[in-house]
Parts: sequence; C-alpha cells; structure tokens
Amino acid sequence: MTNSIEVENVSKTFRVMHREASVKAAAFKWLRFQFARAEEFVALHDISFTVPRGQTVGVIGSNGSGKSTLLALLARIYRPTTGHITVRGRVATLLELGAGFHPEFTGIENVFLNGVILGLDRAEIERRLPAIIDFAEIGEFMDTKVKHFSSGMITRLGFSVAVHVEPDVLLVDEVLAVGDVQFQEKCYAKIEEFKQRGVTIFFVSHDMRAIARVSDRVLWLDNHALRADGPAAKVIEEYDSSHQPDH
Amino acid sequence: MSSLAEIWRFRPLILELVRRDLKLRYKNSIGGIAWSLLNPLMQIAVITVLMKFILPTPVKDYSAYLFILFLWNFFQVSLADGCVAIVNNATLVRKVYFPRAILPLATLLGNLFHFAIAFAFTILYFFVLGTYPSHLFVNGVYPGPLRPEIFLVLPVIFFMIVLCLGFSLILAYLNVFYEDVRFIVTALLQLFFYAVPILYPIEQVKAKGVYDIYMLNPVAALLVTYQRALLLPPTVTQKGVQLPAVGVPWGYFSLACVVSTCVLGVGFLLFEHYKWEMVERL
Repeated sequence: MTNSIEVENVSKTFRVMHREASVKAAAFKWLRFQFARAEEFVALHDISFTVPRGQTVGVIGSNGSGKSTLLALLARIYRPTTGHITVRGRVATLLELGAGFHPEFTGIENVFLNGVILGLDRAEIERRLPAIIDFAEIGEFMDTKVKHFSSGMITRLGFSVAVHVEPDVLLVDEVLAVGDVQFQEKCYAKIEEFKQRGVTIFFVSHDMRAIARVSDRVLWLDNHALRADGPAAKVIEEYDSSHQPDH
Repeated sequence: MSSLAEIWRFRPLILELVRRDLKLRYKNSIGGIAWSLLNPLMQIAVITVLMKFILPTPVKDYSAYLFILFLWNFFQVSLADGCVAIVNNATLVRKVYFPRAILPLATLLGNLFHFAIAFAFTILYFFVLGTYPSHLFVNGVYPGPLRPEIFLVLPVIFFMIVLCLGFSLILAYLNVFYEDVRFIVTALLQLFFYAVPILYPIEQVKAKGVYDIYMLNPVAALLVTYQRALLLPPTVTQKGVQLPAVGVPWGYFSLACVVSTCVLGVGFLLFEHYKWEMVERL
C-alpha cells in the first residue's frame, strides 16, 4: 500500500519583509540608503510523518501552533523552506468553503466555477450537478445570486461541491462545524463514505469530539513542532491531561 | 518545462476564468458585448472629427488608418488588467493550488476575445462593406487589391499577444510586491499612446528623421505593420510637399517579433522563479 502523504523533515519559515509596499516609498528609502529588513518567523520546525492511503488523520494544537500552515503546505499553497512533501492522487482542499465563489454569480454558476477550481471539468460537474444540489439543500435558491445567500447556505453549497469532487486526498481546515445538526450528520455520513472508499483525510480542528469521532490517528502540533503522533484516543488523552489545572 | 505541462493540464480552469471575466463584464451592462466595439468606434469618430475640423491634417481618409486603435486598446487593456490579475484574485490564490501564471493568461484571453470581435468588424468593414457608407471613405483606399501582405496581420496579432503576455507576467509579479505599480503602468500607458502612430501618420515621423529610433519600439513596429498590411500608404502632404510613403517595415517587424519573444521568455522565467514568494506576500 503506497503512502498517500509523505512529509520529511519539513520546516517553514516566513520571511516577513519590512519592505515598503509601493515604488514611491521604496524609492525614498533607497535614497536614504535604507534597505529592506527581514524578520524571520518559524511557522513549522522539522515535521516528519507518513500517512498511508485511506487513513484519517486529525491535527490538533493551540492557535498559532502551525496547523493551518501545515495544511497549506500539503495543499501546495506554500513551498517548504526545508524538507520534502509528497502528496499522491487528486487533492481537494477545504481551506475555506466557497473559495472562488463570486457574489455576482448564481448558485449554479458558482458550482461550476468552484468545481473547476477544485479540479473537475465541466462535463464531470454536469453529471454530478443533481447530487450536489441535492446534498446542499438550498433548493430554489440555486438560481439566485450568491450575494443574497446566508453564510450557512454558502458553507453548505461549498461543502457539497467539495465532497462531490471525489478526491483521493481531502484536506479540511476547521470547516466541519457547518450548518445545523441535521446537515452535520450528513457531512459525517459523507466522511464515513470517503473512509470506506479509501480516501485519505487530513483535517484540522479545535473540536475534540469531531476529531475523536472521525480520526484513526492524531497529530498534535505544539509550538511549531510535532509533539505527539499516534492513535487518536491516546493522543487526545495526552492533550487533555496536559491541559489539566495541575500542569 | 513541467510548468508548461501543468498549465496545459489546467486548461478547463483557464476557460472557466475567461468565462467568468466575460460574464462579469456584461452581466449588468446594457448592450453587453456591443460595448466592446462601440467604445473604440466612438474614439475613432472623435479623433476623425478632431483631425478634420480642428487640427491641420495632411492626410486624406485618415479615419481608416485609425482602426489600429483596436490593436492598441488590446495592448493597453491587457497590460492594465494583467498587472492586477494576481492581487485581484488574492483570496483564491491563498486557498487553492493552481498554476498562478493562469491568472494573467486568463485576463489576456478575455481581452483577446474583445479584440477578435473588433478585428472581425475591421475586416468586414474594409474588405466586405467596401466603399459604403460615407464621404469619409474614398475608393482608392479600399477595398484595396487583395494583396498577400494582408495575411501579415496574423503574425502581427500573434506577436502582440506574445508581447502582452510577457509584460503581463512581469507586471503581475511586480504589482504583488509594489502595490502602486498599477498606477504607474496606467500613467505610462497614457504617455506611451503618443509614441505610436495613431494621432499622426508614420510618414511624419520619417520626415522628421527619427524613424529609426522610433521604430525600435516593438509596439510601434507591430502597429505600423498591422496598418500597412491592411491598407496602402496614405497620401500625406506637409507644406505642399507630399511626404515619402512608408510601406510594411519588414526589418523592424522582425525585430519586434524577436523582442516580443524575449519579453515573454523573461516574463515567464521571472514569474516562475517568484511564484512561491508572491503567494506568501498576498
């Protein structure tokens, strides 16, 4: 069984340039012999792990520990400063629901736009359109401009498109808590379906119940490094105990 | 290069982005696509009136020669739009992966669509409608003899696309790091308009003796080639003397093609080299 995701000694440093954002300002600074200074911010330090195909991995950690950066690296938004990342298969990212949704377009038009952005072509989207509309449960609003949608409707439609893309690897960033309980149950059912199909799922969340419910394995990122990596129950227990008052 | 293969693989996305841009432009406007034709036609009308009644013009039937305005507009709008292609799609770029070079490419293709309509109109007007309708156009100018030079417009358009894409990539990259590049570009383009022979015929440039330096400008060379491929040189008189005519500038056209290719090469390499840094900057 080949590995779905391989992360080898990956570090990510952002160079925050205190650089002027306009030619005008830059020119003035240069005239005074002041050049751009860089400040380095380490987002992730020496992370390594391998995810076999079909595993569901949850990622936990306090805010600012590097979870979203890790996901962005896996999604090829950023390139690691050192180390190497390999992700095999078609990747669907849910870093923000409705990425690419344009407010002036209708629900249907946005399904096509979003679907193509996530990697399908129009013919494939047309075939799946009934299923997508059905899952999103926004009914007659599909022909209304998205700018009139509530945020709940946008998230439901966004999630619906993403799950129908049929990825090999699904990357999710804190968007599982969408919609009402009924819709959430549908989402969990879909994720179960994905697990049956052997889709590798990698997701980030603060919601321990969601993580516990879905993950086989959990990664705990603490202070930009990997503090724990193991079976879900065990790591969650470690995390909980470290947050007890006497620690 | 693998980047090129990847861009090819993402062509459904390019198509979708072009569709999105075109739809957006015409969703809320009256007349829709007709507007992309009306605007430059109005410009031509205004300049014609200006030249006929106000400025002393030594050129007969100059309005026919003003049709290069369509090609100039393509150049101008491609650069202006391409410059902001990345920053305008910042939220998208930060959330999903796709080859970033697609963004300036998609805006260029959208503008190409508008130019194609204008070009079709130009060809129709010159070679099909002929001497109709007005006293502004005189036989002798067109429908000219169907010369083989006419097909030169195709490579001209091709290399104009190459040049615009090259510049778009460079400007898109620059605008990510320096947000006021877009304003500088707009201002420079307005000035640059006077460095191409639209408000005046190229014959006057030749008469002044600056022809050789002037034609080193690839945009000028491409526009003149486009104009002279479609139309015979005009009759330009200055102080009672007829100025020598300028035909298709083969040498300068070839130079422009080479320069365009180099600009695209540089633009592409630059863009590819900085593509990761650009995202981190958005």
